[in-house]
Amino acid sequence: MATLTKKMDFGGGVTTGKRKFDLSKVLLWTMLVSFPLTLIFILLAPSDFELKYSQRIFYFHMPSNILCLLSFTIYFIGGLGYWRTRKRSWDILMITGLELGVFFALIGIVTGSIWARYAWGTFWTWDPRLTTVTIMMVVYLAGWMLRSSVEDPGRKAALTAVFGIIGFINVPLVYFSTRFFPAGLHPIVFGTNGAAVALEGFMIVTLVISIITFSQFFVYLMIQRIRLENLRDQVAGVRMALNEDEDYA
Amino acid sequence: MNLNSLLFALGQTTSTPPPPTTDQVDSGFVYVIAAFIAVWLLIAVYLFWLNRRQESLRQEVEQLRQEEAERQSTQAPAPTAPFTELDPKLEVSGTPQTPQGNLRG
Repeated sequence: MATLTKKMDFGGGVTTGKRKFDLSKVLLWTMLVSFPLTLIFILLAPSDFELKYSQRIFYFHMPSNILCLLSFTIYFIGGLGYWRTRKRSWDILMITGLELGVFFALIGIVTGSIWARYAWGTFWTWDPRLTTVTIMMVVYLAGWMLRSSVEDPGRKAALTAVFGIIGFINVPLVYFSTRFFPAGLHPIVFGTNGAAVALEGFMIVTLVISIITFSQFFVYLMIQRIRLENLRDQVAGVRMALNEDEDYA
Repeated sequence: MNLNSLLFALGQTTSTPPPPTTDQVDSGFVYVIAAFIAVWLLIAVYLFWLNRRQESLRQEVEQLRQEEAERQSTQAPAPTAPFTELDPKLEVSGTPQTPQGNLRG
C-alpha cells in the first residue's frame, strides 16, 4: 500500500498511454450520481417501528463509523510499515489514516448525538460505546497534535508510528465494547448472537448503497490527502535544491 | 380576497419556514434533517480546508520554482577555459595539437 502512495503520484495522475487517468476525477463524477441516489434510497426506506423516521440517521452514522475504524486500521498498518522500513511512503499512509479517522469519527459522534437525542432523550451519555469512542478520539487527536509540534521529519514520523501502533488497542475495544458491556444503551449491530438491530430487505439495500457511497468518498479523500503530502514533499525538494544552490554560490 | 389578506398570504409564503410540527418532531424527521445538515457541513468544511492547504502548497511550489529559474538565469555563465589550457600530455610529446576535446568545463 505504501508503494502505491509512492508510485502512483496522485498529483499528476496515473498515465495510461497518452491520456492521464485521474482516479479522483472519476470518483468525483460517480459521486455526483451516487450521493443523490443514496439520498433517494434513504428517503424511500421504510421507517423503524420504534425509532420511526429518525432511524434513517443510521445510514450516515454506521458507514462513517466503519470508515473511521478502517482509517485507524490503515494508520496502524502504516505505523508498522514505517517502523520496519522508515520509508516516507508509510508516513504518508499514517497521516492519511489518522486524519481521515478523526474526520469520520467526528461525523459518527455528531450524527450519533443527534440520534441519541431522539432515541435516548439526551445528546450524550457515558455509555460504554460512546466512552470508548471518545477515548479513541482523544488518543488520536493527542497523537496528531504531538505530530504537529515536532519539527524534525524523522522524529515526527517515528512518533506518529508509535501512536498508531499503541493507539490501535482502542479500535477492537470500540468494536467489542457493546459485547463486553451489554448493559449499555448502544445496540449490537453486527453478528447473530444478540444483535439488537433488525434490518429488513430494503433497509439492507439502502445501507449497502450508503456504505458504497461513503467508501467512494473515503477513497477520494484518501487520494486528496496523499496528494497534499506529495505537494509537501515537492516543496521540501525545491527548497532543498535552492538551499544547495545557495551553499554552492 | 382583499389586499390585507393577500399581503398576509404573501407574508406567510415569503417569511421563514414554519417551525416543525409536533408530528415531525415525534417522528424524528427534524433529527434526520439536522444530522444530514451536520454531515454535509462537516464534509464541506473538511473539503474546503483540504483544498486550501493544497492550493497554498501549489502556490509555494510555483513560487519556489520561479525563484529557482530566476536564480539560474541571473547566475553568470560558467567561465570558459582558456584556449591555451592544454592537456599536459600534449606538452610532453611536444607536438602542438588543437586543444579540442581537452578543454575542461
